[in-house]
Parts: sequence; C-alpha cells; structure tokens
Amino acid sequence: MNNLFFEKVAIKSLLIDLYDVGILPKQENDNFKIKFYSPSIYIQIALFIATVAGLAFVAGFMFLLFNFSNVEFILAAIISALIFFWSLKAHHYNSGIDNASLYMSIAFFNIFFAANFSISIALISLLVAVTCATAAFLLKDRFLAIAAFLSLLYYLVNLNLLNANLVLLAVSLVLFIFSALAGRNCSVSNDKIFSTLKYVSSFFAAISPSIVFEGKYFLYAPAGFLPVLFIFFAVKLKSLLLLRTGILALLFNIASIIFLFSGLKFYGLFCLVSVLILLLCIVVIKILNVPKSGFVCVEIDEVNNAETVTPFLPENSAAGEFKYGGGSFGGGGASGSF
Amino acid sequence: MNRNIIERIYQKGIISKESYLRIINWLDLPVNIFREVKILLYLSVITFSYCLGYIIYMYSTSAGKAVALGTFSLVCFSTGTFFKSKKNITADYLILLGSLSIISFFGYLQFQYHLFNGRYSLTSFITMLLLFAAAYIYRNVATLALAISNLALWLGITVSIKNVFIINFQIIISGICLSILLYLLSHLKLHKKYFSFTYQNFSVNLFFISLLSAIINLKPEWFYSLLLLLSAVLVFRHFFKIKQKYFWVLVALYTYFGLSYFIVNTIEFSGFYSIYFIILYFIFSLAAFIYFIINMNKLSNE
Repeated sequence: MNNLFFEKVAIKSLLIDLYDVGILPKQENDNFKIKFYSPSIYIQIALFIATVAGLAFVAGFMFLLFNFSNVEFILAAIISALIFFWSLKAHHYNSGIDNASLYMSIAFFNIFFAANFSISIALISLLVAVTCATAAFLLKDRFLAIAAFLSLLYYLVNLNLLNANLVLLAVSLVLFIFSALAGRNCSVSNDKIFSTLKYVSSFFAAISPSIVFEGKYFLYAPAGFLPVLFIFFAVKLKSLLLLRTGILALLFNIASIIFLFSGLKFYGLFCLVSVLILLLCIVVIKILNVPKSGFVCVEIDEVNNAETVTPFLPENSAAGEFKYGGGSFGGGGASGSF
Repeated sequence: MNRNIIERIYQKGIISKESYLRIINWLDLPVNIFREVKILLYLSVITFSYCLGYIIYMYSTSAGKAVALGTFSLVCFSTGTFFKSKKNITADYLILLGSLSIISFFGYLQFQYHLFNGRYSLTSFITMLLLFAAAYIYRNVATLALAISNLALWLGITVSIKNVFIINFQIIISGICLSILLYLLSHLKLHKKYFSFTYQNFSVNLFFISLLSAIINLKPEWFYSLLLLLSAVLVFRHFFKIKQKYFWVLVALYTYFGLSYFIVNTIEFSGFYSIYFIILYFIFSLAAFIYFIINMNKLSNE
C-alpha cells in the first residue's frame, strides 16, 4: 500500500479538474507529474466486468480443485488481492481492474468467514463493515466507504436496541457530523471519502422519518416532506450538498409512495405533483438566468456569456473556457495517456 | 471543494499564488444548479408519463379521456415550441412529454377502440411517423430514440429480457437490415451534428444483438459466429480509426460474448473434465480480453 501514491493521484485529479474548469494554467497542471493509468469510463466498465467475471471463474476453479471445502474462498480472496496489488504496482487507479479485484477480494474474504464459522448475519455485517471501512481508508475507495456505512447500519438495526428507524436517523447524523469534522483537515485522498460519507449520511437522515411510517399514508406524507426542508435550507445556506441530497431523498420518497400505495388518487396526485415540479423548474430557470442569492442556473455551454458572469469572473480564464462553481467536482480526473 | 486542501497544495508550492487566489475566487462564485434542475425536469416528465399511463390503463373507459390525452399532447408541443423560441431548456422536456403522450394516446385508441381493427403495426407506424416528424422539427434526441424504437416495433423487433433469445429468422434479418439502415442514416448531412450518435448507438446495438440471437437460435451456428467475427473486425476497425471508444468497446464485449457462447455450446464435451476446460477457457480468455482492451486503449490514445 503506497499512501503517497494515492495522495499524489488525488492531488493530480484535483489539478486536472481545476484545469478542466479553466482556472488552472496548463503549465501548473503539467508541472505536477504522476504516472497512473485511469482510462475512460467505457474502458473502465469493460475492464471491471471482465475482471469480476474472471475472478468469479477463478473461484469456480478453486471449488472444483478443493471439492467445496470452503478453503477455496480464502484462496480466491488471496488471488484477487494479488491481482489488486499487481494493478497498484502497475500504477492503476480506477482502471476497473483495481476496483474489481479489491471488491472481489473483500467479498471472498467475508464469504470465507461466513461459510466457515457459524456466526450470525449481524456479526457478518459487522465484519463486512470493519473490512470495508479499513480498505476504504487505506486504499481510498469511496464505494467501500458506502458499503461499510450500510453494513454498519444493518448491524445496528439487527441489535434490536431501539427502533430501527431511530437507529438509522441517529447513525446518519453521527456519521454526518464525524465526516464534516474529520473532512476539515484531512488529506486530499481522504477528502473524497469524507464528502461521499457526508452525502450518504445526509441522504439517509432525510429519508429516515418517512421510512418510520411505512405503509401509513397520513403519517408518511408529512414525514416525506423532510426533503423539501432540506431543499429550503440548501437555498438558505447555499449548500449544494443539502440541495442534492434533498432532491435525491425527494425522488426516493416519490418512488416509495408509488411502490407502497396504489389507486387512482395517488397516481392522480403524482401527475399533479410532477406538473408542479415542471412549473417550478421553469420558474427557477427563468429567475436564476442571472446569479441570485448565491445560485445560478445556466447551461454549461452558455457560461461564457459575459453579461451573466462578469461580476463574478476571475480575472483571466486559464484554459479559455470557464465554468461556474459546484457540480463539476467529485470524479477523479482521468488521464487518458499512460 | 475543500478550501483547506486548496490552501495546503498552495503552501506545498504545487500551485502558484495567482492560481490559488483565482481558485478561492472561483469557490465564491454562485453555485450552478443547472444539472440538478435538469434531473428534476426529467423526473417530473417520467413520473407524469408513468402515472398517466397507469391511470389510462386501469381506469379510463371514456372517449373524453382520450380527447384529453390528445389535447394534453398538443399543449405540450405548443408550449415546447414557445420555450424553444425562447431558447429555454424546458422545451426539450416538454417535447419529450408530448412525445410520450402521443404514444399513450395511440396505444389507448388501439387498446380501447380497436382503431385499425387489430392492425397493431399501423398504430406503431403512425406513431413512428409523428415521432420522427417531432424529432426533426424540434431537434430532440430523446424523441428520436422513441421514434427509432417505434420503427423497430413496426418491423416486429422487440427486445426484452423475456424474448431476446426467442426470435425467428425474419426478425433477425429485419434487425440486421434496420441496423444497416440506421447506420447509413447517421451519415446524412441533415442531422450529422445532432442525431448521429443516437442512430449509431441504435445501429451497433441492434446489429450485434441480432447476430447474437442468430447464433443462439439459428443453425448453422458456425456460420453466424463467423459472420459475427467478420463484421466485428470491420466495425471495430472503423470505430477504432475514428477514435470512438464507446463503440469499439461495445463491439469487443458483444463479440467476446457471442464467440464464447459458440465455443462453449458447440464443442461437444463429455465427462467431468469438460467443466475444467470451460472454466479454464473463461479464465484465460478473460485475461486475454483485458490485455486486448488495455493495449487497444493505449494505441487509441497515441
């Protein structure tokens, strides 16, 4: 595990993102050199699928060799881990191979424990949470951080200490506060993990009250309005995080109401709600055509419109193209060449 | 983005003071919520269309509701035209909603009133014509995708998880011919800029799904496998040359799947050791596939 490699790659990704939005000169981006292989998304998907399938067949081969004695899982985990470390040595970073081999090795490792020792599902979920959290922070993987959070949630809910939904709410809030505090002075490579955790925990905090009243529409409906509060506070506090999680939670609530309840009145209601959302969007686009209250809503291609951005523009746009704040960040910048 | 991190990379000397100030300035800019608004627009269109479709399917029995649906579709198109003239992004979504309503409208007329006396193909044909007209008038990619789907439906091609592998020779040939036609259409100067990708995407997917179905359903399998291999080489070379990664990766995946199916299914296996052979085949062939993709990507970047 090379911590320095992850840190350097994270810095390089940040620089590429800043260069892409046009606020970092090419020279400064080029000056920071790090060799890593991170192909385009289509290649990543193809490599991911092929690696997962290949490792699944390796596990199948182990089954045949060791005649279903459970030792095959740990062997498959070791082989997957070896492939992961080989990919790291070859400077792979989000190439599809490194992600797939890492996930498969953790999956095989946990299956080995589950198959060999008669432990409860709750304990297995705790084990998954611990392994995923460790790997997430050591190997800087956001997906594993989410998996760790969900497994921990499952474990706590299974303890039956409190109402499951209160546990959901409490854990989400605690994790949100932890991520917000820890994210203040973290390394560049950990920053993305903490920001992912902030998104996930705030999303669960938004949807947890509506889950409490599952099936009871008259209680469910008011609880389902919590995402609207999120959106309201997002506007007040100019927080993109609250806005995004509010919208996501709203989608979740609409989908769950459609799933839980049926009948003409509900479908009619949703027709009405969707028309209202459509009208709201038209109004938002109209009002935020020019920056207002810290927000703006313009098409990315149109941001060079001088009248719109002049009051806020940095003096010189480095790459000749300029984009507004927010929205563009979050993904690792892919360097096509290797 | 974390301000502390920007400050730290500035202190490490990775970025200059000028860049640091520019970035800090940039972070104070108004937040662009265009992407979020687009998601909401899309959500509202999909939700409305889904719920309306359900209401029609479950509860509608009167002609008045069909008239209302037709009127609603017209309202969507007229408001879409208005917003299009104002260069408002909402126009695309209103046109998409109108297009979805057209499909529901004709589907409802056929289902409830047997508009063309059981000639379902005529319903899909009229819908297709209207959707193509709407796509070209408003330059709407989503509507074009609906129109192409209707064209395929009119020819009798339906692709779903249930019936992808249960199709006959005529449908496969229709699929191949349609995919070639779509590819030729993608090169028309009339819409090169707007619709080229959509046509090519449908064309490549339809072509290889048709060939895969042929390998699975028709005899002789070797002939269709050979056809898949030859066409894959041609299509792959073409897209590789014009550096369209999405398409050549897609071709590679379809070809691998088709050829693997042929190898596993046609070679006669006997005894316990055949399963070893199959598993080892997949392990080594997938490793080779990964190697191939990585190297092709390298070549493509050069």
